[in-house]
Amino acid sequence: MYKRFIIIFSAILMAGSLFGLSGKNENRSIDIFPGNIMNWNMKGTPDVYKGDDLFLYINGGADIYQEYGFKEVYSVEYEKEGAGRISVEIYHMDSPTSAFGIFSFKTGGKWKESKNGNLYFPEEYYQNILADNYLITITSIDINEKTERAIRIFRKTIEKKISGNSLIPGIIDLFDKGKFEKRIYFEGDLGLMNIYNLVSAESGMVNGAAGINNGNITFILNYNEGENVRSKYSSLIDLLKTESRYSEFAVIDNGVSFLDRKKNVIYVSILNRYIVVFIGKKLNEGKMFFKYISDKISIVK
Amino acid sequence: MGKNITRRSFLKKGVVLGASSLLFSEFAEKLYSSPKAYPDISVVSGAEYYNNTIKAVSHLGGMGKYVGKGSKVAVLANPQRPNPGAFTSPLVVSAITNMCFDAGAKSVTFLSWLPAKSWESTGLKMAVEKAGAKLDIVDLRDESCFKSVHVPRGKVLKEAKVMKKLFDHDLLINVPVTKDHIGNKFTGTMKNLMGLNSPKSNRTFHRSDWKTNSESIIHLDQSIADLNTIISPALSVVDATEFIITNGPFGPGELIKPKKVIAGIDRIAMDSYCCQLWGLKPEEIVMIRKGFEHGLGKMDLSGMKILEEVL
Repeated sequence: MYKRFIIIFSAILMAGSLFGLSGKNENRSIDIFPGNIMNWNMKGTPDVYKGDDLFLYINGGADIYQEYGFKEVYSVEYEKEGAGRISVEIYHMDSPTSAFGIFSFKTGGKWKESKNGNLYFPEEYYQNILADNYLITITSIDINEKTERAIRIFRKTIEKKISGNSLIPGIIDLFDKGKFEKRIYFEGDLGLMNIYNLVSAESGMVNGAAGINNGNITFILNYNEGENVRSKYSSLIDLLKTESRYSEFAVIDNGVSFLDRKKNVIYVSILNRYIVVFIGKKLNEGKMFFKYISDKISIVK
Repeated sequence: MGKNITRRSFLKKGVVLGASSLLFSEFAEKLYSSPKAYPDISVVSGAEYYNNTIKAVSHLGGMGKYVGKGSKVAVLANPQRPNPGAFTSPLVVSAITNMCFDAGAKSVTFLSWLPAKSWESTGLKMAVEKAGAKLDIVDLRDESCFKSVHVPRGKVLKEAKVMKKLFDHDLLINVPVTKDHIGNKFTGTMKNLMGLNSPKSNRTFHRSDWKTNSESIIHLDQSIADLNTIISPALSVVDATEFIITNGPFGPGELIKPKKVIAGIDRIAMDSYCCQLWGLKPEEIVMIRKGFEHGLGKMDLSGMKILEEVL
């Protein structure tokens, strides 16, 4: 009887703490929304979609959010008479790394740093902000000067509400900001494929990053420490050899090179637990990038 | 006129023969394919999107060629999200509706399972109702709103779940917005038809191992091509006026404004034309290739009659 009471009591406590945690997160997401500022008024209350319900919000294209680790999204419109409409979406991701991943994906690998430690990137009619576990997208639905000015004000207002703790995954730091125009982090093949459709089968990586510079793409695919990366590398090369779109395979130095249909050189090599892939016009550049990454990895290690 | 009556008779016969006959109107497509005098595809560019739409359809012989007097027209537009370039333009939708009524349509109904909020916030609800058409939104969670349809030529999709209300109409006009898509790289006429299939069934297009297996992307493309073998719109009109070429299909993303409206019957050819508007090659879009392999249309545009006009 006593044992039974303990079990029931523990279950109530656990449920209570879970509900409490859930409520806290929900409040935090909601709290990020700006109030009615400068006569921009929120239309109704934010819609919320959690887990797989994201597919009901994003009709096609929800998969990439899921790949990065999606928890919930809150979305609402603001309106100002004579100016137009703005939408604010708050994507709550599993972790700061997940949030960084989807942020880098949506900004195409470009960002700026706010004074308070957040990352953001402004486009002509929208802005993406990364803060902690959150990706926040502010969009001018009606594109005009007034809404464009307003989205800048909205960003600053949001940044006062949430700041800091934007976690850039270490693998991204392998690409120096000064050398690479774009740096994208991915956690699966869908993210990889959207940058370059390298292989039409499972790559088997844990995560990876892409650095893009002058039309050259360098991928670093991360495999678990302790795994036999060399066998993963051999499997990947075997897979690439089966794809009819690649030709002119050659073994060069520590890697393999071949051409795609656009005559891009693809140079694949292995470094510790990473597989490095260069895609560009000149093999020499590929080797240079490999050397660069190799030096960086040895420093990081 | 004679053609219209024949077409209507054919479709009515299709109802008797069963669902898949109504939808898989390959015979109808052949019967009503553009005579040589008309272009295979017409493309009209200009700042007035309403006029572009009217002109694009008139170059094909006019809406009366597709819509018979007294016919009940179903229209499939895309109200995805009010992000610029992510939804079909209300001006294109207004023009389509007006042309249908001018051709003598008894009713024009926009079918959708996307929420009313999307239709309202994109301005599409107002455009539809102002033009005298009806917006019919079914509950996306209610599977009883969808009818099981066998897909005889399906390579991976063996059974679709098509919106029941489609069967109450004589013909379908497909009015997508072309844009980027995260999974397929591209969306146009073929992908839009997922808007008539139940969301639950659409989820099977995404295999459970999509996180780790890129083959699943091909599964998605093949499923879309399979679905297109049983739903054959009488006419497709693609909104390529303003659309996103990154972060699709939801956006926001990089917006381009070719200001074009494209009309035709051959979905593969139209999608092949549209993807080239932002530098994609049709043969590199798996969905287009799979549709071509199904014999749904032509991927090589070089032998086709494409009429392009700038207003």
